[in-house]
Amino acid sequence: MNLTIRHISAAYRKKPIVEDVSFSVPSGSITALTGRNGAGKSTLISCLMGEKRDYTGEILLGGQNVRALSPIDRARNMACLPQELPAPHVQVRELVSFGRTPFLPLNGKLTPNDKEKVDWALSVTGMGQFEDNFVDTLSGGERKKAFFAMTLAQDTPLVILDEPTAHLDSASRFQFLELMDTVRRETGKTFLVVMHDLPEALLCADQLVTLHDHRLVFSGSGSDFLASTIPQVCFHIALRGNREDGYAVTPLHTPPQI
Amino acid sequence: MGKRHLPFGLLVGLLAMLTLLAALLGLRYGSAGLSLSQVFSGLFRHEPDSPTARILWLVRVPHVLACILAGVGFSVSGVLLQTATDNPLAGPNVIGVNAGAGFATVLGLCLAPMAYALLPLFSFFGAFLTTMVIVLVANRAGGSRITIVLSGVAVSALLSAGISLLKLLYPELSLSYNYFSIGGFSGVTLDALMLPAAILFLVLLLSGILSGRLDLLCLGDAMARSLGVRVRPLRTMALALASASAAASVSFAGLLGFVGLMVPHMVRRLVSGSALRRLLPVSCLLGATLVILADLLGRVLFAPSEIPAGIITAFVGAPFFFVLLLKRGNRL
Repeated sequence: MNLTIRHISAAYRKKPIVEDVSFSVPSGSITALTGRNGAGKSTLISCLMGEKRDYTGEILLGGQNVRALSPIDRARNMACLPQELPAPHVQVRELVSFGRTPFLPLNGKLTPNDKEKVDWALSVTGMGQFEDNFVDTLSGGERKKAFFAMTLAQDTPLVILDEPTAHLDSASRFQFLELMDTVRRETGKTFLVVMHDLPEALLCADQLVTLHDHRLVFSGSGSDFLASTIPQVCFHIALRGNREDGYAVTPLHTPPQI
Repeated sequence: MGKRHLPFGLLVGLLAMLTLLAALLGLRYGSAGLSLSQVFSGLFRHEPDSPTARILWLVRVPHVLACILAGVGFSVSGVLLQTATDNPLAGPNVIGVNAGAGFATVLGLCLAPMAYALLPLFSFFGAFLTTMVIVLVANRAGGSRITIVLSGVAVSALLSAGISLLKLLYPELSLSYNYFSIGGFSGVTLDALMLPAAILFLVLLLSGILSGRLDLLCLGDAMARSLGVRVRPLRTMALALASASAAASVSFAGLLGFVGLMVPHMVRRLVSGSALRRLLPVSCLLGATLVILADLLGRVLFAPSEIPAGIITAFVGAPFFFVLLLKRGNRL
């Protein structure tokens, strides 16, 4: 299901945070939303998730304006994994079952179909072996995977991940990116991922979108991103390399002017 | 893997037996001791004018039922509050139950000093309306769990000042108010328990229905919202239920301290996980048992004099909290 963002502008206390941003996320793709701190990424995600409603412009999911969706319908179409995760005292299986909430009656009873989706989410993330463990006893990486499993159990066509590899060690970061790619290939889900690490974004994303000073400055493939001046101008770094060998980052002390 | 817990069914069965045993002890012991056979014959033989039957039906049965209802009411209130605010230190006083009920009771004593029968209604509505004011203020300020706690502190401080002022203006009220503020079951009648029992039944029913959604509040507001939950109305509903539950108990038991705070913590150690469908029944049974035993202790410790149950629960509850803090610290 493709996501189209058209002329979105949002402000906080009259200060513009996102200005006239438009881009599309093709169905079944991984799109990395990049930009420096304060560029407007989180505000854009808040607009998408319906937490911030005082924006102008349109957000269309599969052609339908998300503003018109009820909270339940929104939750049936898009799942979001925030960057900061809580550590509730619930077992992993129970947490993953929470992902089925938008499809359950008020009493929360799971159907065999719900249980099947929970089992799949536990299995694909490798969290099946921890299903009886309590979430507040897991390591940071395991907790991230447990919550990712919950997001997958929600079984939405669009999955939004906010810096999913933050606070993870190098091996866990790459494992997570591979896991995301596997899920995308197996299910055809569309991923919009907020990423700070540009080499990771170049490795895993089909498309990069960059916000700078609250505006969209780039939307295109990784090779176009490398060929542009965006890394130097917006991120003050030089980027070299390719997907096979990886990417190297060199900081620039005197950024070039546009 | 977490620590091993008793299977849920077995735990509930054991606690139900414990509650029954405590209730039997509550019926048997008091300033006049009764044998078990006297208790059973007084309860089940139709001899309404026998001294045993009169002791049982006029004093002991209302006492034990009041203990059960207060235990259930305060414990359920505590569990709902701690879930709704995701705050382990939340008790009925956080949402203004104590201050609201206290202020309304003092006001009732001032306005109608002879109308003792109306005081439970004053305290119920005082507690409930205060909670609603706190929730209203908190919702205007964003409706997060922090704003609820902070507006609770502010409104409670205001009402506590009001209580102090009324006590200064009407010093003769102090004695009645002091008994209410300690909490106990002296003079409680079966009639006075009807309405609170109906309210508690309704609270339990609604809490059970909403338990699946309320469990999601442990994920934080943003994540609960992303799962389709309307967080603010849900939290407001949970607070209203918690308030009604505690207010119903306060109306006949006074400000019985520590039960709403202590029982949820004890239950979390007994039950695996934090699902309300497991926490609520266990809290009801444990809360009822503890209050019956506290009341019993107060009645037999210095018989024929009686110590209000609120003093016993505070003497037991405060050290319990110290132990909990020392053992669990930041993991509370």
